[in-house]
Amino acid sequence: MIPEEVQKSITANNIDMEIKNILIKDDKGILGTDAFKYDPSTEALGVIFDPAQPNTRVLAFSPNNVNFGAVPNMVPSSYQVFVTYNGTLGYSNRMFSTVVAEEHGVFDLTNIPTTVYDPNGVNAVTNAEELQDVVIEISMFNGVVDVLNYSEGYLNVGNKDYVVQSRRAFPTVITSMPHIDYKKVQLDGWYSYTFIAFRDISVGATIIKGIIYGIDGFIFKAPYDGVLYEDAEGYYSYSVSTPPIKGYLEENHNYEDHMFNLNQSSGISGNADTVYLHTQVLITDTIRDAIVAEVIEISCQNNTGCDFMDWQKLSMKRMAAYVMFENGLYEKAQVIMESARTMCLNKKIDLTC
Amino acid sequence: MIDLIDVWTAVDHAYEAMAELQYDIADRSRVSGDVTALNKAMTKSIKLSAYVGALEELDLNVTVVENRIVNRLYNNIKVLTKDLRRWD
Repeated sequence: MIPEEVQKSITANNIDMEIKNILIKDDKGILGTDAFKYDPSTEALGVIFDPAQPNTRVLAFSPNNVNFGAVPNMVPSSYQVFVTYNGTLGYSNRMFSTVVAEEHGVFDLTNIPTTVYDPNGVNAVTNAEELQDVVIEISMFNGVVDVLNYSEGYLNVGNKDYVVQSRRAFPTVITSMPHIDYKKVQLDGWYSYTFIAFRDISVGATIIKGIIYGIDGFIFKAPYDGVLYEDAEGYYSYSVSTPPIKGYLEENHNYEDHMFNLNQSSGISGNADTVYLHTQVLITDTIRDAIVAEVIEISCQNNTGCDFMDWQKLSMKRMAAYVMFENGLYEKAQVIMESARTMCLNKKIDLTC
Repeated sequence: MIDLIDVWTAVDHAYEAMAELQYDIADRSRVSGDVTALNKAMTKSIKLSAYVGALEELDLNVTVVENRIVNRLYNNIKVLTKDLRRWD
């Protein structure tokens, strides 16, 4: 056994090799800092397989370790949540994010939102043109959005650090979805969870073009510099004096718009328009099932008729994805997870042998 | 004479080297994700995995024999991870 003090050191450097099916790592945003956590030793975001649906793999995301009561001026505010699946496009290493779950509303301190994503709820299609209808949104990023710049990470080497760089993402044409193969929607992979709280602005306040605001659950992007109004029927509008323009505001739940907006509107101050949490999640559940299935198969068949190395290959992939993820190299973790899919295909745990 | 920090460093290096090797394999065989067990990167991965597994089963500074084995495992990992500058 590794001595206890060494084990502690290893754990402190994130090389705790007890690999969980759901790995969570707070990445960016003031809500993920220790100052606003109930328990600083765990992540701000909680992710579990939804206990309400025990026979399926439904993910439930909730920032339940964030002490929202300690965040200044959180009430009244509106919230926006995005859960994205991040994948690469084949050998190009080009990355894109797909919004797989989205919700928004009035933020309530006593009712922290839980966002549910059921991969089986997405009907996989083979026609690329239909993919736009299957998912809420597909976005490509060119590395301009700071929040999504995952291109650098660190591997700890003893007392030294060195920077590991991977390629940045570039815009390209979507031809297939990384998490939909063979009419099956993949659960395993790298997800990003973003919770944004918009401190409500008041009617009559000045709005600045391009900034996203929230008021009473209504989230909009200001089309011009101007003033916010509310008409008798409750619709929000804007007014600009020179030249005189008036118009109704439209809701905006575009992931890319929101990511850009965070760079301009978010801050530590209680007067900042937004506070947010951006957390990365790696699911290694299917690959774990495949490893177990492989080992059971070997046991049943007395090492005959099957490739006894597969469990080892899959175990190493899972471990490698874990190490990459823990070191902030999310793209690399995703590449490793994607490479495990074919080997995981049709591996079901069968205890009847 | 190696100490506990050395053991930790070796385990750390081994895991990171394994992760990089597996990434190289994944990057080159994205569709199948599979390589033969004789693949150089896979063989190296398996060896590192075995050395780390063995290190986890041994106590340091309990017996001379075990210390000698730990020392040998440490050196094996050091040789396999190659970049000796990282070990300075």
